[in-house]
Amino acid sequence: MKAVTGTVAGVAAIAVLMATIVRLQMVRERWFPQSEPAQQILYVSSPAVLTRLALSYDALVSDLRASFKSLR
Amino acid sequence: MRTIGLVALHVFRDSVRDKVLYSIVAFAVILMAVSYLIGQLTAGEDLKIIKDLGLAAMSLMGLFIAVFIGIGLIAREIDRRSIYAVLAKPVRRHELLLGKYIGLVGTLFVNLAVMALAYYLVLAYIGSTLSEAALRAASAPPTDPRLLLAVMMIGLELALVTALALFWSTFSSSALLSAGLTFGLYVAGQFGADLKNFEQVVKSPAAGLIGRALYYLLPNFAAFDIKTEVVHALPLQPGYLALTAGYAFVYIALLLTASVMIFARRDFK
Amino acid sequence: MHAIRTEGLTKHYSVGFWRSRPYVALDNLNLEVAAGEVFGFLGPNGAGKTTTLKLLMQLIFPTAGRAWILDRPVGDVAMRRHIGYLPENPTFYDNVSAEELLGYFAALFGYRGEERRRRVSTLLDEVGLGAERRLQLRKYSKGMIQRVGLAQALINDPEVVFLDEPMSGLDPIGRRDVRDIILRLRDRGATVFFSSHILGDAEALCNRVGIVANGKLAASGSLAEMVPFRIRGWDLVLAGVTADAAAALAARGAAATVIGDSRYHVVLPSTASSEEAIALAKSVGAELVAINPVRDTLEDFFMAHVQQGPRRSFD
Repeated sequence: MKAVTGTVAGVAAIAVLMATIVRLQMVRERWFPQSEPAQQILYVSSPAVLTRLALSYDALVSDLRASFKSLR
Repeated sequence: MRTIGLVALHVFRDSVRDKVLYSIVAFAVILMAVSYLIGQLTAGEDLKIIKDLGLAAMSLMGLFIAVFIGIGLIAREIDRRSIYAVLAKPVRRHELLLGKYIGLVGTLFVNLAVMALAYYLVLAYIGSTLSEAALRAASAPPTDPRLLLAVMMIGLELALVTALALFWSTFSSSALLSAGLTFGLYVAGQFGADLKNFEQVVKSPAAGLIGRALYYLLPNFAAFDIKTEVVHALPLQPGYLALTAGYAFVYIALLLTASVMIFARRDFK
Repeated sequence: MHAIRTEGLTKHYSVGFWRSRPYVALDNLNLEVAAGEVFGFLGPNGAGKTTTLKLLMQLIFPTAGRAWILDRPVGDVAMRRHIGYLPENPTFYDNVSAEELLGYFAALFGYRGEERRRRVSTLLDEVGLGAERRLQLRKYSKGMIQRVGLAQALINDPEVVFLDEPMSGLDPIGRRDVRDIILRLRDRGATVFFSSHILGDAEALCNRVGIVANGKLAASGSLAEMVPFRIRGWDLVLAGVTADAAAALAARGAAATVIGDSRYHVVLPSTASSEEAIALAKSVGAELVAINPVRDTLEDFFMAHVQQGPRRSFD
């Protein structure tokens, strides 16, 4: 008997908590809307840095850049 | 209550001394130092890049720590059967689980504090090398106290990850599976915006509904990311932070409740 | 009041991909252990000994049946203040020392301050851990871990102690130490329930034994009374046997084999008592090096008994 009430209480608590997190998210979105930029741009000012950051994957990065360019 | 505290203290002592954690933290500290060098490569943007890199390093390393200890929490203990001796003591299963969670989050926070200290030291050093003009031109001081807010958000985010890792471990017998699921959810939690707008990708109202449902139910980790605002000295609303913190606490409570229920009924083969 | 009691205790596991095949780990165990007894729970590996202990510690939940310790149901947390448990091949936590581990467990029982320190120190002495007690557990050998395990099982002066294969991983000195500890527990009036697959462990220590095989209780009762374990004969090793002596032995109908330089291995039938066996050695002028009883091993018992079917009591 005790086990059953424990389970019921637990499930009820979980349901309440789930409802709360959904509500919190909705409230947060209403009060603090996150503006999303129309276009996500990653801006690196120095080509030298980009080459270095690409480590040994230079070819991959230039490929990606080319394919993104073609998408636009 | 007292029992939970005893378990937490013991777990903290055991995990804070773990060698693997030392390596991860050392790696993060090295990253901080290296970020200084990377800063030298760019023209004039060093301060911002170092701040970004430091926070990113803390976030990533912290993630590894959270998953590692979160899995270690239960999966390793069950695997090695060290849980047998404890459960034969006058400890209730839920006391054990909660004590373990608190102990491990404590370890996580200590490691995060060490990384944050290294972070601030590097920034202070850089700040001392900059000229007066450069300091005035920067949008935020090198050792900006608002950076601590970002660190705290990272801490909250990772406490949530730890709770998630704990949850998977309570019923999965495979440490690898639990780790994979936790990482997977962490990644998914970063794509909140895409989930919400899923209807734009797969053009069907049902997909949109599922996407939105998942967005609201799955842990939204992207919301904890205030790195951009802090590094670029953009405004931060305290209400937003409070709501996000509240979200973290409630979600953690949810995961812990579910974990306790599963753990209480589990057979330890 | 019984120290330990089970009623129809059963545990099935579902195995197979669709969890359709039940594996019977324990079937309808009915057991009673009186307070102050040393009870040996014997059986081959996989018989259900560890399953029984885990059911008693509520590490797993029964499919059917119930169990009580000190007249309280096994789930009772308060009752655990009065019991101790040593799991099989225990592991603990890598980065704490034996002292810290025992301190933790002692604190869980509610001991504080000076009393806690005293208990930890005394128990570590009792199990033979000296300065190593301050080292982190990951540096310990298997034998040392076993000692730590024993210490943590006894930290609260339990009324009932559960030991799962307590001798495993120990060298002969360690085994003797464990034996001594169990005897001391008996003298203190504690109930000891230990599982083993080695008959010899039980012989020296137990009032009663229970034998499990394939998840069922095959027999229980006093070891001495169990027919299959009666002594069938005597196994002697004699030294300094001269040719005359050998002839004399042959005349007595004792089967004798040479095992070395004038050493003989002699087997006497059970009709002889141990005194007669010793006298025999003297009468042929040989030196008695060793004398051992010949009896069925536990394995022989299983071969014969398990086929026979349901449990028989020798009480």
